Amino acid sequence: MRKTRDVQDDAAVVDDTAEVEMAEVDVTEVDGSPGDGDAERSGVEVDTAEVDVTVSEVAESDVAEVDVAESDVAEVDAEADPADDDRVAGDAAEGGSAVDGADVTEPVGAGVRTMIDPRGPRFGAALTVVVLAVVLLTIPSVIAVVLLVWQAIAFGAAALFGVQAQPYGILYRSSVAPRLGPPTEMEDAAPPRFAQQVGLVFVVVALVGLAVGVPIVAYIATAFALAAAFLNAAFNFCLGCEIYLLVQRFRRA
Amino acid sequence: MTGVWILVIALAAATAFGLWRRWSDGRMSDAPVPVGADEPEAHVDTPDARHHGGELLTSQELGAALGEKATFVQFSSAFCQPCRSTRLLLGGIVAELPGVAHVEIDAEEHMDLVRRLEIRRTPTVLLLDADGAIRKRATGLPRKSEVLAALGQVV
Repeated sequence: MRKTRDVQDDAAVVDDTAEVEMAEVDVTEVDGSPGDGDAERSGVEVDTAEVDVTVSEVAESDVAEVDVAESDVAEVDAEADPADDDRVAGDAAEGGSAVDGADVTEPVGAGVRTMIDPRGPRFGAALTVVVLAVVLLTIPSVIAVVLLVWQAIAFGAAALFGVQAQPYGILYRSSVAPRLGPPTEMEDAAPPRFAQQVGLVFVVVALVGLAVGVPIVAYIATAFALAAAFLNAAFNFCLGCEIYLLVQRFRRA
Repeated sequence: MTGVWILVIALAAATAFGLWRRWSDGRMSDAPVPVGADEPEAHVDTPDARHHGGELLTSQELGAALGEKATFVQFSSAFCQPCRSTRLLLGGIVAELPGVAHVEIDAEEHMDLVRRLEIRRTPTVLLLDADGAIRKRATGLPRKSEVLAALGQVV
């Protein structure tokens, strides 16, 4: 299957040049390889089993990054029903970026999305819980401010540059992932990134509360961010993600 | 001391919420019957809106053909963790069952349906019967056993 071969080839290249030592690679590279479009347009069905095989193989070279999204794209293509536009549009939106001007009816554009090890964001969420717990225990103090600023930087890095730039994510890939073995599944990076943006808002509100001398605002905002991070770490629920549809509902009401 | 209490409350509330979600997520429940005669909503007045106690969806509204026997309608959104898994699950089920279709809808592009059907989260999966009447509903990643059982009741 051409698709899978592409992925493997790319992974091999990455491995050879030792460009990537972390568990994540930007899928854009994989998708960018010539000929991808042909494979996708011909509606190649990449089943999950196959992708899984690739994941484990690739993971051995420490590059646990495979564009599982391609199986989605292939599916979209395989079924030529009128819902295709919707699905592809949805997929493209999930990609979050890099669909610049691409025709949404072309699965090629929709294939550009970053897939990550889902344990990374959960690990980051656990660290966030600890940091914000200390904040709650030290408000109002310099320690609380410093930790909130640090957390804002961490959220901000993800919000601006993607979850791979998140300090906790970097720590996960460098120190934790190598001890855990390859992930059994990958997830789209867009939802956790959005959640980090929501988290950033709460942390900034907390900082403003401290700055203007209203600690109760800082307490409440921090508590919400902590609860959301805890839900993510303990239950794998992305609370931030769920806000998205509600916001959209009210915004267009 | 205030911080300790707020920390405890936040963790307790999050735990309770998480446990409730874990319990309720993915269950296929009977679709609510929003078309009772005592409900004075506009869409209720259309003659087609009463059928098997469930609201009707047409292929026009969905922008896709309905399955001959049943249709899964999945509402997804851009920032949705379990939507992908849901798509794979339902896609896999549908692939093996002729006459059963899976339609995925971008919630953002169908805000009218989202409001009318009171979709609050993604993924929300509706199971329509052969007539397009909404019979079952699940939020979160549906459980495969529940999906198959629901399908058995509807087909």
